[in-house]
Amino acid sequence: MSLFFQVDQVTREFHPKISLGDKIASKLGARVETRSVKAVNNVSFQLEEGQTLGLVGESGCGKSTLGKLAAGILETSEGTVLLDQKPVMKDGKKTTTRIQTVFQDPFASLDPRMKVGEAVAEGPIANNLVSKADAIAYVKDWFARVGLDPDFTDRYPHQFSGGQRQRIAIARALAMQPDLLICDEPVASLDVSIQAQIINLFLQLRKDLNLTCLFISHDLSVVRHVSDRVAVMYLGKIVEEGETSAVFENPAHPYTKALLASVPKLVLDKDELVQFEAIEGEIPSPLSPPPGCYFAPRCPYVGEKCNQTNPPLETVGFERKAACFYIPADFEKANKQA
Amino acid sequence: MANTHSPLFRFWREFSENRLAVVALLIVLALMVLALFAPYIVPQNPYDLETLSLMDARRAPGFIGSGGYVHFLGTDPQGRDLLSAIFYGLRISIMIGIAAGCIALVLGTSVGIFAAYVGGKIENFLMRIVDLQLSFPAILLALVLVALLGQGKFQLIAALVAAQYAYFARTAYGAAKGERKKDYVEAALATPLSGFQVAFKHLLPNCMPPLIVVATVQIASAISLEATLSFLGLGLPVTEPAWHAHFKRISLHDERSLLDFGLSGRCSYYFDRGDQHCWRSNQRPV
Repeated sequence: MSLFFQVDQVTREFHPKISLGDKIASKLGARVETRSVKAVNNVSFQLEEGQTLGLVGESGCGKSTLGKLAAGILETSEGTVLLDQKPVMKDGKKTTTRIQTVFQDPFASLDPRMKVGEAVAEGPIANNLVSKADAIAYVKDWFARVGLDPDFTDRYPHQFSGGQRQRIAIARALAMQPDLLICDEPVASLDVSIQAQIINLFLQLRKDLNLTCLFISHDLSVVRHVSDRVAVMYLGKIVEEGETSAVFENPAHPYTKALLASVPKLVLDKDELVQFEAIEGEIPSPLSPPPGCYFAPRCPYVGEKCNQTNPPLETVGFERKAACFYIPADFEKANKQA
Repeated sequence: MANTHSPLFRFWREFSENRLAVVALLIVLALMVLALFAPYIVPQNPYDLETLSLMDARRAPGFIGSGGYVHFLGTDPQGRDLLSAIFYGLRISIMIGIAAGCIALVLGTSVGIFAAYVGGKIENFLMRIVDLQLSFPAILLALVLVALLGQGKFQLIAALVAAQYAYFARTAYGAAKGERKKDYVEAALATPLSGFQVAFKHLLPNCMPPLIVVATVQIASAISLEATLSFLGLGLPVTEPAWHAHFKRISLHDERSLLDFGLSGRCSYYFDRGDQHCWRSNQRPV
């Protein structure tokens, strides 16, 4: 299969904004922060058509930044994002309408002073996907498909609940007839019952429209439910990647293992108070990451090598990649059995 | 459906809750009507030399002049009816004030939103110019410009616009800078929509509330500023320059302005009152 969507060795750095005042202050001896942050550090992944890749990680690990780079909202510092071998961004401008994004917060992602019908119609009209005359019918059709009353098009966003707004945001993205949908924590700000509705809607539409998806979330159970493959991010790098069930059942990287272990479970063994295995220590500051493996300071399996060099992302099994020198023994065992 | 009434009706319902605002609106409207229909209300056109008579000069209020009508506020040294002069002056004040205010609104808002949207060096350049201008008192700037451009309606409007657009630019910039970072702007840009469309269909409507407040204050202050300039002798020439030269000792111009100044001060006060209420009720999306 040809490469549909490819993120190729992408890095995004954020530089601190140094004002004239700061410059003068630093000349006079004041300490001004000039180090830059690599929010996304040399990340590569590929997506085949129709596939859904789940991207998980702690908050602050760069998932959203990677999502924005993939969506053509942010420019890469290094590396390229390719859709059908064509770059997604050129000279700071997005070149394609085939990638659309659903944002995390439906309260912020809809213009409060624009009628929702207009908001949905705006993109398709501006990009000549639909004529102005047909726009109303087109928008109503999309409202119906995302489970909203087509008569709601004349309302303003503040007249809707969070779940309804997220449906509108989904309609807005899908009305552009994208091939790749990037969902940046689409259910994180919704109630649990609404989350289920939105996830089901998402699954339904994905099937109907044969969408390729990049699904970003910190919620492991949601990702497990919707993705074909998962990539685990830690401090700007992908540390493990593979088929969803394989990664969840048999994690290769110590971080993935720790992340899965820290999920609270509903089934308790006894009436005892259950202690969850929290990952020890804090996520290191991205301003001064550790010299070797970024996870080394928190890793229970840490070896000498880990503190000196950063392990590359290597193939460790069937369609599995992990970035670790000392892959835990139980993974090898289980992997051989499989 | 909740929206059985037109937006205008709902606006009026909220607006009319505030009695003071309604009174202020009535006063503004009354002044507007007076200004608009001045020729039909007052007995004399003070700019028409034929109707003037030196016999009527410097008369006390209540004097019945050669025209056969009562001069309620008396006459000036050239025999002009002062009441008529005030009403005619009101026309000019309101027209210039609103014209200058509106042009300054459009210009300043464009500059501010453009600066906030493009960012970087252009943003700094534009906003430093605006800052520089804000550091001068508006009246000083207007005085200098009128002195440079000369007298006349358009020159006066240009001077007022130049003195006032900076306030709009600052306000629009501040609001747009805040909105620029919000998700919906990012979503619009990621669609992708053109920068022009994002700036005018998304940023502009969301910057309107503070701009409306500034507009009410600035239109009112444009009226005052015009009156001030007139009072200082830099406003409009009363009529033809030749006329000025002929009656060199005329001070009607200044008297007109003096009274006018007081009147327009009131006028601008009511403008503020009414419109600030508009802004308050506008905060709740209609």
